[in-house]
Amino acid sequence: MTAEVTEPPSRVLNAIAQAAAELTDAGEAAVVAARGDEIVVVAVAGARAERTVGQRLTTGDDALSFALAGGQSLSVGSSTCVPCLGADGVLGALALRGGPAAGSFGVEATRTATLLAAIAAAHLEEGGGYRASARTPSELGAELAELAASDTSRYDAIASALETLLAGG
Amino acid sequence: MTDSTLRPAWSRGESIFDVPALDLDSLPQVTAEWAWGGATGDGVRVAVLDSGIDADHAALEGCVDEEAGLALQLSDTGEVIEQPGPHPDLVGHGTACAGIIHSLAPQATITSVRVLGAALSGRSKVFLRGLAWAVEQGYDVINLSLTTCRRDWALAFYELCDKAYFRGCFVVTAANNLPVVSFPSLFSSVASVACNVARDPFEFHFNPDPPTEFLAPGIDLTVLWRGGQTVQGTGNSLAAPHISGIAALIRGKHPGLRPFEIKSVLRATAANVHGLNLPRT
Repeated sequence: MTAEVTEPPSRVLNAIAQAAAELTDAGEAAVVAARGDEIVVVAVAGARAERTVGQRLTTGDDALSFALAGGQSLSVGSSTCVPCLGADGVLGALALRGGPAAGSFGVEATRTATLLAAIAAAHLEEGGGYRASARTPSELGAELAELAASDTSRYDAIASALETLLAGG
Repeated sequence: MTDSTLRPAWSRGESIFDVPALDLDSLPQVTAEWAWGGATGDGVRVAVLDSGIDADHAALEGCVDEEAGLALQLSDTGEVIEQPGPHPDLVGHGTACAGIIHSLAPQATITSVRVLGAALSGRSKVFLRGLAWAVEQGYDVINLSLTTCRRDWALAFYELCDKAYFRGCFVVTAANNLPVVSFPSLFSSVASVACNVARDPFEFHFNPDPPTEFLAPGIDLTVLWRGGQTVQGTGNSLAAPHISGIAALIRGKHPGLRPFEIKSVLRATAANVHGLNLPRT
């Protein structure tokens, strides 16, 4: 794996990684972008983060490879990866590593990661703008409203990332 | 195709994990005992389109026909290269799917069609070609624990899945966890599967809210992985092979059933339709 800083860090993606790490108790939450056959870390957060922004990753025997190649969320061991899906395919993924004490991430963590990955997809799709993605704004809004009603603290953290995105971060 | 019926298992709260018993005419003569009681999958050929299969994994007990396998990838010029014969699992996920199918249908023969893992680009083209090959070979059950959301490939997948349907190949796909349009899991010619929270591998549900038609175990499962390992895994991609395995049992006992009849048998024997009183292999 080669470290290579290719661009300035994105406030939006950093906020997403930060929210993901806090809400899921992940030791590391990373947003990665798929660029051709390259996988590049574009944001990372977490108390036990090992990856760095700009780092190129290789495919391997983990959930990340499957999420990027298969377009499906997958949890394996202490890793959970949710693909960031755009209208034309997989744009990247939100990758969680170093799960909570029990070892693996639960359904609720995956649900949270799914929401955050959708926001990341919107950002990756348009290179910063919040426009078309695989999920429509109304769908995402409905899901956020449901979360706001059921889990205020999670909603606050996710909304914070979304506000950063809408502010043009 | 963006309404709420496309919502994934884990964005629906817990509701999908608590599917109520359905007030349906359940074809009472079609019981699980009738459907697959005493069956082992003997004589049934299952194709797994995935990252390859670790055929030497001890838990697979030699069920993988390595010589019949096919590995596909894109060439530098964008053409699909087909490499027949044995090939490794590049990720581990295909081994997980094969292990689930084998645990349910131990006498079924499993073939790996590797379409994932060699590269990230060109996935849809390789995926489509791999599926076409499996249909051409006439596999009884084809497990697809992957999807594409590329709309420009939708028609090609649609036509191919219809071809599989008419040919008698039962195609099982994992529904996408995300509420996005993805193919071929939205097509009626395939059986689309998401997770339930069951621990019993035979406990599957019929979902009256399609396009996802069946729910099967897929959360916190101990699954096989490449290198002879086992890991804990969660995902709709692990639910689909449960339905593939049960379909292999049904096909083994009733080889003349067409794909639409297998779906009907699955619906009739689902835990929320017929109750959980299932024969074991």
